[in-house]
Amino acid sequence: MDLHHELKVRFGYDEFRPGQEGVIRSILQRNDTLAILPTGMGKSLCYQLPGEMQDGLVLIVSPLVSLMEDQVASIRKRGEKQVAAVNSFLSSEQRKYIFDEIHKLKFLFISPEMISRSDMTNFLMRVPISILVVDEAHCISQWGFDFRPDYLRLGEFIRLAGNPPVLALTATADARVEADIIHYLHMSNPNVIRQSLDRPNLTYTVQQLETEADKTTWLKERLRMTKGPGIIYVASRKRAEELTHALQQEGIRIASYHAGKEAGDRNIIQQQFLSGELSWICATNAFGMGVHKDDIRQVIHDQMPASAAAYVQEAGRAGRDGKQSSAVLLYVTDDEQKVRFIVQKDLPDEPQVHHFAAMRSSGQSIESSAELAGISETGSRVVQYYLESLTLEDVYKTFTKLKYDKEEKLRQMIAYVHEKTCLRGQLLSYFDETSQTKPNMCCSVCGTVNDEWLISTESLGNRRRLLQWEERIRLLLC
Amino acid sequence: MKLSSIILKIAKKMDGQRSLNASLHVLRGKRSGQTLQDIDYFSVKPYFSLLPKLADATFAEAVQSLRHSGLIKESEGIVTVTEKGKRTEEELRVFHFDGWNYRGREEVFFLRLVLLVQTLSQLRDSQNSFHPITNDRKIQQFVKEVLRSLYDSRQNNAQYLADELLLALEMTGISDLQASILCHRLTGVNASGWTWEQLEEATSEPVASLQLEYLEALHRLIAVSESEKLAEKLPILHKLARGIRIETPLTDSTSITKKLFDQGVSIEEIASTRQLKVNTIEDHISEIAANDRDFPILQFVNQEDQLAVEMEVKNNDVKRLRLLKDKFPHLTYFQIRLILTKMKGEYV
Repeated sequence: MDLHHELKVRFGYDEFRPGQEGVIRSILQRNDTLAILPTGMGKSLCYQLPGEMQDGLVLIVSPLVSLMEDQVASIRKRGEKQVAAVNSFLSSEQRKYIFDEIHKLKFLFISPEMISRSDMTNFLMRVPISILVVDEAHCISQWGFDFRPDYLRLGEFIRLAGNPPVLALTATADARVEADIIHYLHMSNPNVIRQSLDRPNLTYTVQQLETEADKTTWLKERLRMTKGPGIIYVASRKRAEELTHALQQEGIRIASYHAGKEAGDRNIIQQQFLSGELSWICATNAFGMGVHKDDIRQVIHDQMPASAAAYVQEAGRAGRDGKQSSAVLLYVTDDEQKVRFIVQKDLPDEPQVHHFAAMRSSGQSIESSAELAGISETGSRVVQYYLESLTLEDVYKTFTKLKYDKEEKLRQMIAYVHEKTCLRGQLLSYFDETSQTKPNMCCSVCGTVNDEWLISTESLGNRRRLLQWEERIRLLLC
Repeated sequence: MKLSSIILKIAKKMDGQRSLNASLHVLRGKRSGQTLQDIDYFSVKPYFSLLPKLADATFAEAVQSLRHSGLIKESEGIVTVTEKGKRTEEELRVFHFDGWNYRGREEVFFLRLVLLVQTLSQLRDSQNSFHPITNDRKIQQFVKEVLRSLYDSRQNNAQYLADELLLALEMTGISDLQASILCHRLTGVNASGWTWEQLEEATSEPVASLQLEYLEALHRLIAVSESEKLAEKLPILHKLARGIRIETPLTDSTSITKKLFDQGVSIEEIASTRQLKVNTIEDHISEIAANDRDFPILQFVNQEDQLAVEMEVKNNDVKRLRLLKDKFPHLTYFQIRLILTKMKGEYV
């Protein structure tokens, strides 16, 4: 079969990106396949191409509504209209419409909560499924940084649906997570295709500073002197607002982005960043998934993320076009404590679990029990899941283990900032890889960081001027 | 435009009759019988549901500034507007909100407009593939329909839409600043919309004020767009305004109650069938009464009581429920509210 021909005709590309072809061949031979491909390496093509080449429905399980909508939009954008998404936000009328049209659909996105509902399972069991795609498959593992208990119910669905070929996709999975994915999705003799996480065009830097205030000063200087487009990741909405304001004062075209912003403004900010009207985004980790911008030159972390996996994912948003790009992590000594607090806060402790269980058995809903016990929304889903399958004692034990595990993950990041050997090698080692190449501009420890290529030549933005309204209309439409 | 000015306008209408919370409920669009009756009785429908997410603190701050400038006074929970307040209120310009008839639907109109402008801007630039400014499928489908109907008849729609917008904004009577805000929230090729903060920086007006200006401008633009008389001059905008105005004056839940009530089911029975409190059903009934000239009030209050309360209101200018209740202890609040509703139109 001439896959290159199919790629050219259906998608207009000349070449596959690394890893794609192997995955596609494996799935076309109806093998269960686990593909571990770095962010931005075109994971969705791995099911879109074989999906188009085969009869039947491609069912894609996806954890986030926003991600789902984004993927639907991008598939539509290339001209495939037989695509839809089912999630709990749809009205029953909209849902019915999709079901009536199901035989015409090629791609159906669905959330894990929806797929495990019995009415949904019964319905989907009768639909011929060509590929069952599990996106962000690391969510199935409690060792992953984004555990979603609903994913654990997928195994049951796969069995009921007559074991269609399963394609599990993820950007990061160490050996433990890999084993979990294969086990819980009942994958038989799967082909595991792992593309190196190494990004030779990224330069890694750890910048140690004395105080929080130094971070702001450093960032001001950095953004004045070097070029975007870039993302600054911060730990809180408050910091995002403050830092953005300080950098705007320097004349930098930057906006903040976080879940607390009005939806209209969030869309506008994305649009401005894509079009280049903004050079920088200062964001919490709410920003990034589903943002397709290939020419991001810098990703700077104002605060270390909770794990190396999260760091690799976020830093990896730089340089998807393959050109030289920079990943910087700022660090002051206090950061460890701060991040530890944020990380552990999400995990309920013994009294909280106890309280939650008591509330549940007195007939309270999951939401209000969680609120009364002071457990976060994500936390409550995890607790609820374990309470259904384990004794209270074992739930406590599990959470103690999870706390320990999170601490271990955080230690990776702490080790990274204190690292005395190559940063690239260190990051890769967390994923049981060794670096194959030695780029010229490797990392701050190797001492080969050279920022000359980053020096900005653009002048800083002037204050934006409002146009007369008639002028603005003509600019937009005439 | 300041929030405090709007509150002052409402307070003036309810002068000496209601608490500050009544104004807050109007602005938030609370669907209780009391508020629904108030907006009718005091003619503040245009302000209904203008700011559904108005925070307590924001409201309190605006009220504080009115109090501080000596424009309003509060005693026993009732707000009165001072002489100074009255003069200030008269000097304020007339506002042209239409909250009651749009109730948040204005955003749907605007999203349709934003997406249509973006699409036509992209097509004019020969870019058939782009990232839409909204992922809302309903909006996308609606705009797609509109586009299809446009292309059946003619080309160069970007130019036509530009002409319509220029004409419509002129006809609305909004200020240049308002028109400019609306236009800068629109997105096109190499001209993304502006965030509220960017608008604040460029105009030196606070975000909250800009958003109120925007809301009023939007209400007036929809009014022009939906007008049947102008439909021929503004065919595209007319299409975009389809289904925006709230046609049924009643809330959804009240409509269900009305159906049962019209079949002769009693309040208690309605409450038990619908598993709602009797109070709630009474709120529904008040809402129905406020919207129905021929409401059979005699089912609930006898002629004698009705006349007595009416006399009291007319002669002593009392509209406060509690005072009326003191005077007529044998009547329930519900009955008094119904009588006041019935009087609306005859008096005031």
